[in-house]
Amino acid sequence: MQTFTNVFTWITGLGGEGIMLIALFILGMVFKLGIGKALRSGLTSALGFVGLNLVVGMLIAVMGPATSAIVERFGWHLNVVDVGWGLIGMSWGSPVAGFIIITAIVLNLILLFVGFTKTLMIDFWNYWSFCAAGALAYGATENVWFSVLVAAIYMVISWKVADIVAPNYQEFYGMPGVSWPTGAVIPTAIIGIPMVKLIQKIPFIKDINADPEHIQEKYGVLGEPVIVGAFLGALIGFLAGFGAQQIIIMSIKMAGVLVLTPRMIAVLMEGLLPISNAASEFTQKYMSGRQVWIGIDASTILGHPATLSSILILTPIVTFMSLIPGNQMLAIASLVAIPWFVIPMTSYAKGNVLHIVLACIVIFAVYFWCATALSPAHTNLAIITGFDLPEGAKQIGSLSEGGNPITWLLITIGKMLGL
Amino acid sequence: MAKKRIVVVCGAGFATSTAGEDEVKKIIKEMKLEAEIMKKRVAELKTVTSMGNVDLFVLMTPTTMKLDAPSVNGVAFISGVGKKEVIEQIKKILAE
Repeated sequence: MQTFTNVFTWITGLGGEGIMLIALFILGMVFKLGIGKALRSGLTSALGFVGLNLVVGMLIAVMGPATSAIVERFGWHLNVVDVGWGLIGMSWGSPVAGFIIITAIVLNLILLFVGFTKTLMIDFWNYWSFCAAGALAYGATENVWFSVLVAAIYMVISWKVADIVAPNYQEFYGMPGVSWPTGAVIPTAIIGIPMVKLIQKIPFIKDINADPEHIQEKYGVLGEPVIVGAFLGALIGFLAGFGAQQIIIMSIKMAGVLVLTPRMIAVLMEGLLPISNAASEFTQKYMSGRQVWIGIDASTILGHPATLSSILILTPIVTFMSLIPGNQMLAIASLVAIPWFVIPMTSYAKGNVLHIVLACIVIFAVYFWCATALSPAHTNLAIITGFDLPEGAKQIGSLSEGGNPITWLLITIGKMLGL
Repeated sequence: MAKKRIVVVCGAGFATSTAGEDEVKKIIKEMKLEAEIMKKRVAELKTVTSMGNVDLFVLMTPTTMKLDAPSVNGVAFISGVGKKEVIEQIKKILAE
């Protein structure tokens, strides 16, 4: 046990990129990729982490002074900097990520075998959601076993909910034989789908519909990250009372954050891909002959016009929802994750944009509050994984997974139990 | 032979499209073609279609947008179901 702790502490000391290199190298060896490929895989992902770290560093350097200025001018209590998908890097690079990935693979096979779930989650990439829940639990408690437990509970809930909603999605999108256990669409489904059903009972509102094709056609370009980022950067610079020069710089840098973050994640993904393929072959081999639903990424059902239109409408709404009482985070970097909040509702709302948007507003309120409550854990996680937080560091947070109510609830229970 | 231009479309522009890109690269290599592969988000499709000169769209997510080139459904690349058929489809389109 002492040796384990020593080794664990040493690896943790390497920070996110080092942890990722070692964890993926070991995983690659487990799945028999060979030393060369396993090493290349680990290194590539570690580089993605390095790139993500640079982007998040720039984001905090730009947003830090601007949010301070806004807080001072308007007295808005928004001192948490939104790092958005920066959490992905922290999740894959957290000290508990390796344990969580192994747990996910083994637990999924066991639960399939005993018939608890039908979903075989070959979508290795989205294990990041489980890693995020565990990583935040680690940031809150620094307890390895509790963190793995939190992630495991989240997995079980995700696969079960994915089973329950799959028939509806399969019929609506015409995609039989698959399910969508992507973590990001699970808590949102739990809150959002009952909301949609409630909205469908409210007189007057239940009959209103907006034409999604028209909205997408007319305002589609406004939904592009480069436009959203540039506009919001300028708006924040303006609110902060900066001069024209500063506003232009803010605008370029914020667009840079929204455009470059996915590019960096793509590098991370590239490294994961060989392991992902090997893991999915492995699990499919053990499940051959069984009736399973292949669990794939929820972004495969993102392209519906009602979903895209709702995303467009929600982008400004979510930004201004930062002002709801009890929230302390100005949502900017997390806006790129809005699609995953919308996806679970589209089929249940039968493509009604108004109903989707109303349900999403409730979901976002919950996420804002949880993100604020989880921000100390988020900040500590960033420090543990070696993200560069500036001097007199601000708190950081994020909406997607950073505001997951399931994670928040489990961590709160853990804290009550004295962890 | 002219360089082919292939756009892989997905929701976020990094996860499923990276998986799709990987498979398309294998096909390109096998067919000994030269190609430029781009990963794009579905929200960026309007801008992409206005660029023109695309030979193939690989859709990792459905779209109702009018495309100016043939498209295939790439979901098979991640689910594994019907993957062979999609590879054949892509080969046929690129061979033209």
